[in-house]
Amino acid sequence: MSAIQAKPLQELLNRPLIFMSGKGGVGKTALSESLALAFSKDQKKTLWVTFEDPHFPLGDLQQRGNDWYHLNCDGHRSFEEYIELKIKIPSLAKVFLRNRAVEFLSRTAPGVHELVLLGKVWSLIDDYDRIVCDMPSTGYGLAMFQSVQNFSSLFQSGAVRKDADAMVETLSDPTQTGNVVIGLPEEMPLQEGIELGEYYQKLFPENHSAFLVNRCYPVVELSSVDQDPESWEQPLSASMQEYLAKRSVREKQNLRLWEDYHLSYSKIEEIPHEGEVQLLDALSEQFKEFI
Amino acid sequence: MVDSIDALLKQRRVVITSGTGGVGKTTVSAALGLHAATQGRSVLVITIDPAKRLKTSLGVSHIGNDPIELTDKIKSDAPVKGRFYAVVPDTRETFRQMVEELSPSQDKANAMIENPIFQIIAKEFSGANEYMALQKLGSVIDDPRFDLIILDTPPSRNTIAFLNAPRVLGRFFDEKIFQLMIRPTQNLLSKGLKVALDLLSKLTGQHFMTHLMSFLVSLFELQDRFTEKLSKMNALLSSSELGFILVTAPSPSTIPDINDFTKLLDQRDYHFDGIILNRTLGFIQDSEFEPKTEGEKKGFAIIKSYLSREKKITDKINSELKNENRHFVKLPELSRDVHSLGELAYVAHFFNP
Repeated sequence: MSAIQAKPLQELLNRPLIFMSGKGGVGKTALSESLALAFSKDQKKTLWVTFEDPHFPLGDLQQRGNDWYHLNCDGHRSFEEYIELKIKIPSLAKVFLRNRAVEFLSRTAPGVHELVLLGKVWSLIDDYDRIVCDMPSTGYGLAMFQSVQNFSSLFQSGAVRKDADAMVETLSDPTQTGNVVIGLPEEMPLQEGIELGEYYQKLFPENHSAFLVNRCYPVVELSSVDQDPESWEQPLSASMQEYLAKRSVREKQNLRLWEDYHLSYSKIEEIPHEGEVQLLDALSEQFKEFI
Repeated sequence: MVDSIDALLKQRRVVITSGTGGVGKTTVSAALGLHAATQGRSVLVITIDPAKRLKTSLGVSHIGNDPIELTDKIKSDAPVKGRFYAVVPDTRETFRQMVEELSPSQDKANAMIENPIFQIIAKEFSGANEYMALQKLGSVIDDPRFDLIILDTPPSRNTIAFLNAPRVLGRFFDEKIFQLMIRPTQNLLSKGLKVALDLLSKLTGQHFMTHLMSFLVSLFELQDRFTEKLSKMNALLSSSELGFILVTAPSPSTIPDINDFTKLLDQRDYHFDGIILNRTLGFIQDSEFEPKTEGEKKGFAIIKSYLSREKKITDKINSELKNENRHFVKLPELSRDVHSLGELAYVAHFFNP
């Protein structure tokens, strides 16, 4: 079995730029938001970044509290900002951006969108102590990192090539960037976590990811519940106690997927909560122990 | 509101299941297909990215473009009246087929496929997987073996990404500028465009511009057939042969997701057939048992908070769908993963009211 090298979460959280990725539904948004909240409570000027999340207004920086900012990054606006930065003469930049051919290309050329989103985050790295990014689900998330690499190889010269190279350098640098791969104690999210971990290792061989399992339930034991799920008569649990005991068995079994890969990982516990605010607070308390 | 899904499975020729990642959409789609097959229909389930073990148990462990019949593998007390097929299409292969279908010649298709920009698009253009699912649907829709096709859409960050994919791809073509750019000789290149292309070339390098131009030329040749195909797809999506089911699981975004989804379907006159709420805990009996250990106390509190959220979501869906001819089915969170046709049949039995 090919070993994926993993770093402890604590170590990654010392880095200024942190990406949290994983399969859809593992809780990337809640975890990245609460990690950012935990940093800000720790008096670090922190930016939480989402990428065109439909649940938030696009593009404007929002201050949420002391040292606590949110940006729902907008590809279109990031593209314009990038061009204005590159073409230093404002009137010329305007002509360029208003040109319909350019507008067309910015919307359709593959990877441009992903590149400028990531480029926007990259350009902010000196403005904050921590930037925590909620990456899109596996496929799209990978596409973002890949687009930077693609541009680095597709463009053999030009200013974009230079910037893409510099971005790759930052993303590969273990003192600058940390990738946190998130799973749930369920088969598919863990499996996808391994694939993502392998992929990151290929993309950034010198910069190892950290692994985190979200929503771990408390351990409940019940003598009537056999340790082998296949021996259970039916997959449905009749009582809460049975459900919890069976869940414990299955979590343990599923987590072997990562353990067999010799992946060291951290855990975030499932928390009973009423509403999102309470959940965020409770999660950020858990993150405090890693900071 | 209708609580039996059977009527729907009889009425539609295509059912598209939508939903965000992690809700168990693939399992639900497969169970829906199995259920329809036991009701006597000849069903094909198209699934994009199932769990490896589910794939193995479905007998589609190899990815291929040909549907595989699984009817004989269903272990059921009663004889299965219909037929059950599954297919897990290969993204790259389906994309290649699409280009070949749209290209005027094999040479031109090859030129397109070999262009580095095309390769990036086929691999990771956001929307490629979604479009591919529709392409696959288009290629089997007239196959006489199937009288019901269930299309399990690829996992996406939001429920409407799938529906927007054809439009996103369509954008490649709907601009006059596209023609302007690749046929600069036959018209008066505006000064602005010249400046823009010059600057672009400085930013990206000549190498990229060369590939880009040749990509656009190739693309231009597909335009007519692509547009025609797109309008066929749009016609299919809004026809009464086809309905959408939203698969979701209780979470803070369930209600917003449902709202976004129904709004978009209504806007486009697509047929919204109902909601399957998966992974619900309401099937667990409330026991008299007093939690004793620390773990039990915490665990009970977690489940109770989820049950209360689930109830709110259920009430909301019930009230929204009250006067509509739409379906609402709840499926339970199971204590182990679904890995066999037998377990799928177990899930499917919840479709019987």
